[in-house]
Amino acid sequence: METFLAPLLLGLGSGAVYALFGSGVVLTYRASGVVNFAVGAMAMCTTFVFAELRSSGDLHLPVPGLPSQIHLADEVPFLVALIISLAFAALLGLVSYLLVFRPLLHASALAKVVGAVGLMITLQAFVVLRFGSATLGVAPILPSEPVELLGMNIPRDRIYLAVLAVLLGVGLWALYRFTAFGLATRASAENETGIVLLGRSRNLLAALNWTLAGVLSGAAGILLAPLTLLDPGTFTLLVVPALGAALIGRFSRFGLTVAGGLALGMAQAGIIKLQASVSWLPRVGLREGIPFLVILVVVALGGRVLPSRGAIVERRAPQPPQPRRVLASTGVLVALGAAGLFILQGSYRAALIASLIAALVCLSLVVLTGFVGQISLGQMAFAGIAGFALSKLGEGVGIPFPLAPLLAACIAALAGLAVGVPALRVRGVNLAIATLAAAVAIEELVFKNPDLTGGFEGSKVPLPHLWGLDLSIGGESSAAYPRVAFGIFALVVVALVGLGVANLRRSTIGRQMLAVRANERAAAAAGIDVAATKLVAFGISAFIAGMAGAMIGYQFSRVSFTSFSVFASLTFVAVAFIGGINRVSGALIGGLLVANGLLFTVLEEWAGLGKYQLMVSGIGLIVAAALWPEGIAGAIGSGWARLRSLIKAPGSTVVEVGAADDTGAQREVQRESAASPH
Amino acid sequence: MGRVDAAAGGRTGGEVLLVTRGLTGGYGGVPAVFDLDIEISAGEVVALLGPNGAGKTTTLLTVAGLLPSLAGEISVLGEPVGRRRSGRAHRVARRGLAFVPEGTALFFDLTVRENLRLGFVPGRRRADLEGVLDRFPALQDLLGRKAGLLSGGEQRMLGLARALLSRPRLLVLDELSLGLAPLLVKQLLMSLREIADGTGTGIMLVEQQVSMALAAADRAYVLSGGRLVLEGPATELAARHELLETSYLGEVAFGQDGPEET
Repeated sequence: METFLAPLLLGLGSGAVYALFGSGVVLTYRASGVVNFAVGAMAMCTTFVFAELRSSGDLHLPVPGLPSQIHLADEVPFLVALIISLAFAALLGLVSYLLVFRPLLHASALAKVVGAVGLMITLQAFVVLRFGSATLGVAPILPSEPVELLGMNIPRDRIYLAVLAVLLGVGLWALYRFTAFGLATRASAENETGIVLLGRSRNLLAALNWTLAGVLSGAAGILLAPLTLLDPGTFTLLVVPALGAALIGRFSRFGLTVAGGLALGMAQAGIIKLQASVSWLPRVGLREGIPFLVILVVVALGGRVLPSRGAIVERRAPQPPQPRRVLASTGVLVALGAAGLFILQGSYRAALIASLIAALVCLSLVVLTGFVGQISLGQMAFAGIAGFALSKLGEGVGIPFPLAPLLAACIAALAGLAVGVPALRVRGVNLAIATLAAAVAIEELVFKNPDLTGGFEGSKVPLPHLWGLDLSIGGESSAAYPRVAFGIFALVVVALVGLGVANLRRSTIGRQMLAVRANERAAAAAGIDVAATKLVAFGISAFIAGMAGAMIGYQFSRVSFTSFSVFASLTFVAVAFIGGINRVSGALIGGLLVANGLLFTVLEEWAGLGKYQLMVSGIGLIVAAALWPEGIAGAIGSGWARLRSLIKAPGSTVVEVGAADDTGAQREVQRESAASPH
Repeated sequence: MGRVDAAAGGRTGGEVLLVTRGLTGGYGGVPAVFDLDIEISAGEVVALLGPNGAGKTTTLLTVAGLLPSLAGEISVLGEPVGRRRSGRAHRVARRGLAFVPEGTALFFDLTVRENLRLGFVPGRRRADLEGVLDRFPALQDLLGRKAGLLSGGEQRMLGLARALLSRPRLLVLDELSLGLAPLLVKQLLMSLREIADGTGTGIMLVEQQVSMALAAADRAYVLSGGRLVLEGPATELAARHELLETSYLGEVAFGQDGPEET
C-alpha cells in the first residue's frame, strides 16, 4: 500500500496545476460561455516569457511592430520576473477576450469551439516560431527538499502546490459566492439579457473574468514548468486534463474542479507506478489515457454537463446549401486536377496530391460537422486507425490492393460507430471535448505504442497495384517521385467521395441530418430517428477519414503516428472551417490550405513563408469563426449569388436578409428567387 | 393614426421620460415597427396594445436598448439612445429605465435574495429592500429559495420587485401577466397604478388583458401591423370598444395607414 501512496502524493504537484487550469476554464466559461481550449497554450506563452526572463533577462514581446525582445537586466530577480509574467498573462487573457471571444459572443456553439481552437493553434504557432519547439527548462521555484510524511519522503513543493490549489479554490469560491462581481458573473452565466437589463456591462464582466483566468493559467504554467519537462506540444495539450477537472466541477463549481484536478494528477502518478509493476498493461500512454477516461465517464454518463446559457442571440451554424450542377462541376474540377497533376512537377505535384488527400479529411468533417453539426476534434484518429489497419491487412495478412484500403476504411467506420454510441448522449462543446480527449488517448495509447505501430519508424504499407497498373507514389524506382498515376488515383478517390457527399446532402438521409443539426427534438418529433442519423453520420465520416488515412499510408509508403496526431486533427478542423465546413467545395478549398498543400508550397517556394502556415491558419480560423462562418466557399458563394442577382434583375433591389445572420438557407431562397424569371 | 381625443395626454404635466420620433425598429435590418411617435411622462401608466405580431415587444426591446433602432430617434430620460447595439442596454438601465421582459429574465439558479441583490443597479440610488418586499409579502418567506422553483405568479412578482429596487424612473413591462390568473393580473396592475401615483415613476406596459390594462392605465397606444393606429386616454378607449376591436380584428376598415385623422 505504501508503495502506491508515495506516487499518489507525488501526483499532487501536477494535480494542483490541473486544478488551476481547470479553475481558469471554469472562469471563462462562466464569464462568456466559451470553453477555452487554448488554456494550455495561454499558459505556455506566459511560461516561456517567464523562462526567458529568468534565463537571459530578455523580455519577449509578441506585439508586431515593437522590438521582439528587450533586455531588462542580466539577472532578473524571481519576484520581478513573476510579476512581469503574470501581468503579461493578464494582458493575454484580456486580449484573447477582446480579439477572439468578444466577437463570438453571439456566434454558434461551433464557431465558439472553432475560435478557441484557432487561438490555441495561433499561440502554439507563435511560441514555436519564436522559441522553437525545444523543451522548456525552468529552475525550481518552490523548495523541493523532501519532507517526511506518513513515513515517506515527499518533495516539499508538491505539498505546497496542493495547499496553494486548495486555497485558491476556496478563494475563488468565496469571490463568486459573496462579492457583487461574483454574483453578477454567476447571473450573466445563466442569463446574459437579464444581467444587462440590470445595468451591468456584460463586456466588462467578461473582460475581468478573462483577465483573471489569464493570470490563473499563467501562474499554473510557471508552477508546472519546473516539475516536468515541457515542450510546446505537451504544454498546449494540458488542456485535456484541465477540461477533465472542469468537467468534474461541471463547469461551475470551483471546489469540485480543484478536487478533480488533484485527483487526476494523483491518478496519473498512480497509474505510472502500476504500469511498472503490472506486466500486461500497455507500456505507454496510460498516463494520458486517464483524463480521457474521466471525461468519457463524466460526459457520457453525466447527461447535460455544461450549464446552458441564456444568450441574447445565439446564431445557428450555417445551413449547408443544396449542391447544384454537381456532375458538371465535378467534371470541370477533375479535368483541372488532372491537368494540374500532369503539368506540375516535383514538389508542386506532391503538394497537389497532399491537398487532394487533405480534402478527403475535410470532406469527412463536412459530413459530421457541416451536415449533422457534431464537432469532432479527433478526426485523424480515424484516419490513423485505417492507416495502421491497412499496414496490418496489406503487409501482414496479404489482402490485395483495392480490398485492403476499403476494409481498412470499414474498420475506421466501425471505430466511428464505437465513438458515435457514447456520443449520442453528447452534443456541441461536450462532444468536442470528448473527441479531443479520445484523440489524445488513442494517439498515446495506440499510435505511439511501438509494439502496435512501430513507433517512430512506423509500419510499412504495400504498394497499390491494380490490374497491372502501378498506382504507387514512387513506383519501383524512386526517380519518378511523385508519380502522376498516384495523383490520378487520389483525384479519382476525392471525386468519388465528393460526389457521394454532395449526393448525401440531397438525399433523404442528408435532409434528416440537417434536421437533426437544426433541432434534435423537433427532428425526433417529425419522426426522424435522431440516434440512427447521428450514428450513420459518424460511420460515414469515419469511413471517409479512413480512406484519407489509407491514402496517407500510400502517400508515404508507410504510416507513423506523426501523421495522425491530435495537432493534425486540429489543423484539419482549421482548414476545413476556413474553406467552408458546410459544403463540398469548402472541403476542396480546405485541402489547398494545409501545411504541405498547394498554397503554402507555392508561398514557401516563392517567398519562404511556409513556416507561417500554422499561424496563418490559426488566425484565419479566428477570423473565419467571427466573420465568415461559412468559410471561403461560403463567401464566394454569396458574392456570386449577389453578382448574379444584380446581373439578372438590374432594376430590382436586392433585399439584404440581415447581412449579420445571413444563413445559407436564406441565401438559397434568394438565389432561387433570383434565378426564376420575374 | 387615430386619435380618440384631441387633448390626448391623460395626466400630463410631469417630466417627459420617453420620447420616440419616427422610430423604426426590427431584426437584422428588417423593420417590424414603423415610424412610431410615443411619449411617456412621469407618473403616467401607458398601455401598449395590439394584436399578436403588431410589434409591441419589438418596440419595448428597441426602447430598452436590446435591439438597435433602424431609423428615427429615441430619447430616454432626456438622453438620446444611440443606434449601436453594443453596451447600450446596460447604460439605459443605469439611467433609470427598468425593463422587465416577457418571462422576467430571472436568474433561476440564484436564490430570490440573490436575484433581488442584483436589482441594485450600479450607479443608481437603492430602494429600501424591506419597503419593496412590503409590497410583495409572498416573497418575504421565499428569500432563500432558488428563483427557478417559484411559481409563475411568484416569478412575476420577483421580476417586478427586482426592477423596483433600482428606483426606476421609467418602468417598462412586457406581458407581466403572462399565464397568470385574471385576479392576480388585476392585483398586479393595481399595484403598478399605486407605484406610478406614489413615486412618479412612468410606466409603459404591454398587456393582452385589454380591459384590465385600460382600467389601470392613463393612456394607451394601439399598434397594428407595426404602425400606431390609435392613441388616446384609457377611459375613452375603454368606452369606445368598437375602435379597439377594429384594430385588433382587421385593418380592412382602416387600410394600411390607419383611419384618417379627425
